Amino acid sequence: MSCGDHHDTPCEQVLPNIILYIDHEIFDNNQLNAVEIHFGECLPCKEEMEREHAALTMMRNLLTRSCVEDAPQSLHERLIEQTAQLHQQMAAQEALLNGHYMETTYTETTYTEITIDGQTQIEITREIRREFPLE
Amino acid sequence: MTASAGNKLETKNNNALIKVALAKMSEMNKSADNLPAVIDREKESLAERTARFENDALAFTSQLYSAALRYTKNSHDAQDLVQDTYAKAFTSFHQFEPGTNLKAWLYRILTTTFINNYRKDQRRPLISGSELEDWQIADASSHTSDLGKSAEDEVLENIADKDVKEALAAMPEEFRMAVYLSDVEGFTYKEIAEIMEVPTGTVMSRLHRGRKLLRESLAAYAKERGFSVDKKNGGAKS
Repeated sequence: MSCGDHHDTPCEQVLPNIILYIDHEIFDNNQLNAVEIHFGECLPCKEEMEREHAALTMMRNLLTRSCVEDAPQSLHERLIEQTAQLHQQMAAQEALLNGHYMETTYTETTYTEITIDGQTQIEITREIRREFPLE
Repeated sequence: MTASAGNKLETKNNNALIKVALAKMSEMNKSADNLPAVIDREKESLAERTARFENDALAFTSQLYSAALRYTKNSHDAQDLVQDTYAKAFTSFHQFEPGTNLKAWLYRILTTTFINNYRKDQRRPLISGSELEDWQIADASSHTSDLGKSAEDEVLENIADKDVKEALAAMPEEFRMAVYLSDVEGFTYKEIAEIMEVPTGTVMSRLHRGRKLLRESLAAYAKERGFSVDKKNGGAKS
């Protein structure tokens, strides 16, 4: 439904674009100009846009007022701790890739002699420890 | 005009151009101190990257937590979601291009992490495409739209925060996310499309239908709470 007056860009073309105009989502300059010229000529469309804009602003304020909350202090602390842990893991991986680490091999030998059947048992355990330099 | 005069003029013009260029360069040098240091990710050490992460990324904790609350609808899951988001963000921070939109990058991780790991019923199908694509701003095809009644706006302003949160929580997830990302966080349609990994057209339909739903539901809350639209003021609408 148009306002009945003649416009270069008819109301039917402007009205569906009002929301895009308010959201700053009209990127084509010619289209943007056409819409703005129309608002200058057509009071009903301009009023429609202003009403829509006011309603959206009100809704945004309401949402922002209600929904913006501070994260609990415990979450901030958890995140700092998590970042430090992940950092250490990544530093270890990085050092491993670059060969920047000290490797110590500990070897332990257990020698057991069982006297009755004369069997002997030898157990060797080996443990490799890698030490990464601290940054 | 003789040839020599022409050359002289050209030289003069060139000098003027050089002067302008020099002035611009010195201006740039002056402001160079105020610009953030250009980060060369190839040369950046892990310690430097971690420091940058703590400074830049962790600054969004409360914002991401607020969004996570709207996604998960409870504080416990919201905190876990934010923690998971930051774990992923940290381990892929070397892939983030400094100077691009860090907030949108974090929201994208938050949103995908939520969809993949936190959604209560993960197999729940998304709202069908056809239902969304048939959307048109047809409601706004005449001057007598029922949106934007000024008296109703005054009523809505009195609504309690709790009611707003409830109204948002009751909305289908896709609409809720689109409205939150646009109207609270101020992301553009294109940014929301990247965060939600859907086409821009889908963002538009979700956003506009979501806003409409939210508005209707808030009006219902207002009515229930006994704030009614004053009939006398109701005549003010065109």
